[in-house]
Amino acid sequence: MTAENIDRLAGELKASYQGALVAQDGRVTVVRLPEVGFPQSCSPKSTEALVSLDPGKPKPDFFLKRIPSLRGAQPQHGTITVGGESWCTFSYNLRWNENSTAEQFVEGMLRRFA
Amino acid sequence: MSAALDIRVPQHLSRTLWEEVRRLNSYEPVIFGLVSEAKTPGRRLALVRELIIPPQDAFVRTSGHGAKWTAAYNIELINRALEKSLGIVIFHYHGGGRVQLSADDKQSARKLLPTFQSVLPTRPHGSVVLGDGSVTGMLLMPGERSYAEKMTLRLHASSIEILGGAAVPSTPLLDGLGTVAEIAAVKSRLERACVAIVGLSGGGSQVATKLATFGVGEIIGIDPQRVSADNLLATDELGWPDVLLRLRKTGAVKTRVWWTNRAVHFTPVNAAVPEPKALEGLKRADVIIGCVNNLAARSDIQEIAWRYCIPYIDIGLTLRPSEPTNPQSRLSHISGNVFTAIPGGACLWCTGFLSEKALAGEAGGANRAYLRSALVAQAGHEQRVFVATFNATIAALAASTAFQILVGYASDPPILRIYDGMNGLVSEMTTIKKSDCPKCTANLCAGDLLWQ
Repeated sequence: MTAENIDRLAGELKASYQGALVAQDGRVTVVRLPEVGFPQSCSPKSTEALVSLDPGKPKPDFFLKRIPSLRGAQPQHGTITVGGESWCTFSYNLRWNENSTAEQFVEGMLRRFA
Repeated sequence: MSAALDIRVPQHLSRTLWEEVRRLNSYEPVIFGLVSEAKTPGRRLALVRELIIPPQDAFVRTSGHGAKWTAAYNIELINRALEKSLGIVIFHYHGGGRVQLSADDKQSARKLLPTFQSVLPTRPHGSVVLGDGSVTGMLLMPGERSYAEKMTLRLHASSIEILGGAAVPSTPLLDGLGTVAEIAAVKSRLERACVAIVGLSGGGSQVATKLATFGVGEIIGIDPQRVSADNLLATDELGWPDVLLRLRKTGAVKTRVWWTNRAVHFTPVNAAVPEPKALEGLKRADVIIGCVNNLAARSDIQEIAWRYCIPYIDIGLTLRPSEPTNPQSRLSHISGNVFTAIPGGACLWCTGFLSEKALAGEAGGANRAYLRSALVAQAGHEQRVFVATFNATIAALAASTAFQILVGYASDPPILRIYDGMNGLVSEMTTIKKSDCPKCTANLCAGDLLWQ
C-alpha cells in the first residue's frame, strides 16, 4: 500500500468508526476501532478491532479482541502480539484492493462470521 | 499506592550515557534522552530510545551551578523529540552515593519540564541526576502536574545495573565473594528479582527449580497445558503422579519449586503466549526465559522483551535423524541452543533465527489462524525419545545466564551457546546486531503504542 493510501485509509477509519484511534508502530500505522458489530446470531454481538496498515503489504491486516461463536462454533483462529497487546486473527481471503475504502475492508472482513 | 517508576536504558546506550555524564569538561556534562512510555502491572516505565549528546557550542556560561544551553538548542531538541513523538529526559551526574538535585537543577527543571509537557503532553519528561549507585530527579508523567521524585534507573549491560532502590555495591557482586556484606547483597538482589519462564515442559521445569535454588524472589511460570506421559521423557522435574492426577504443569512445577526453596514465590499463569494473562506476566518480569517449541511464540516473546526492555534467554533442543523419512533411522544430531538477547544487542531477528518466511512456513504457509493445527500435525510425526539429560544441560546454562544477568559475576554474558548433545560440548558463537534490523528499529524500547 502506498503512504498516501495508508493516510487516506486511516482517515476513513477515524471518520467511519466513532472513537477510533491511530498509532504508529515503526513503519506500520495501526488503527484501533473501539467497537465493530458482528452479523446477527453471533455471540458476542460486537468487539474491539485493530486494522494494521503496513506499507510492505498489499492489503491491511485485521485483528479482533474476541472471535465470535456462530451457532456454537468458532472459525479457525489464532492469537498474535501487535503493539505489545494480544489480538485474535482469523483466516479470510477478502477480495480488496487499496483503491477500495477502509469501511469496505472492515465490513468485508466481518462478513466472515455471517 | 502509586506505581513504581523505572527508567530503562538498553545496552547500546548504557555505556554512552554513563561515560558522557561523567566526562570532564569546562561545563557540567548533560545528555538528553528521548523516551517512550509504558504501563506494566505495578510499574510505569520511561524507556530510553535515543541519546543526544549536545555539541559544546550549545552551552552558555552560567554563574550558578550546573549547565545552561541556548534557547536555539532547546528548540532544536524539542523539534527532534516532536518528530519522533518522544519525551525528553535531561541526564547529568553528581558524584557520591546518595545524590540530590541541587536548587539550580530544581529551578531549571520547573522551568523546562512544563514547557516540554505543553509541546508533547503524551510523553514523560524529566531531569535526572545519576550518582554512584543512586539516582534521583523530577519526572513529569503524561497527564500529571506534580513531579515524581522516586525512581530507579536500569542500565542494561552484561548484567542489569539498577541505580536507586535498595543500595547495591558498585563492584561486580561475585568479585571476591565471601564477605558477609557481599553475600547479603547478592541474596537481596535475587530476592527482589522476578523471572518469567514460558513453557514448563522439558526445559522450563528444570530452569524453574534451578532458579529456586538461587533464591530468585518470584518465578512466573507460564504454560496452559497439563502434564502428559511424554513429558516424563523430557524432564525429571515432572513425575507419574502429575500425569495420573492430570495436574497442570504450573501446579506440578509450583510444588517442585516449593520443595526446593519455600521462600520463592511461584506465580502460575495457565495461559499460552500471546494470551493477555501471559503477556501481563512477561511485562512484569526482570528476565524472561523462553522454553517454547515454536517460532510464533518466540516472535511474540521477542517483541515484548524489546518493547519493554527486558533481557530474553531463549532455549531450544533439536534432534535430527540421519534419514528423516525412515522411522528406524539413527540420530545424527542432538543440538541445543541458549540465545541471550540483551535489549540493545542482537535479537532473534538479527541472527536470522526468526524470519517472516520461517514463521509462515511453521504455520503451513498460512497466517496464525492455522498455527495450532500445523503444530499438532507436526507433533504427530515426532518420535517420543528420551531427552531429559540434554534438556537439563541447556536448562542449567539458561539458569546460569539469568543468574549472571541479575547478579553480574562475569564481564560479558555469552550471547549464543550451542550444545552438541552427541559429544557433550558447548561452544560459544558470536552474534552480530543488524544495524538495519526492522524489528530492533520498530520495537526496541518502544513501550506502549501512543494512541491519538
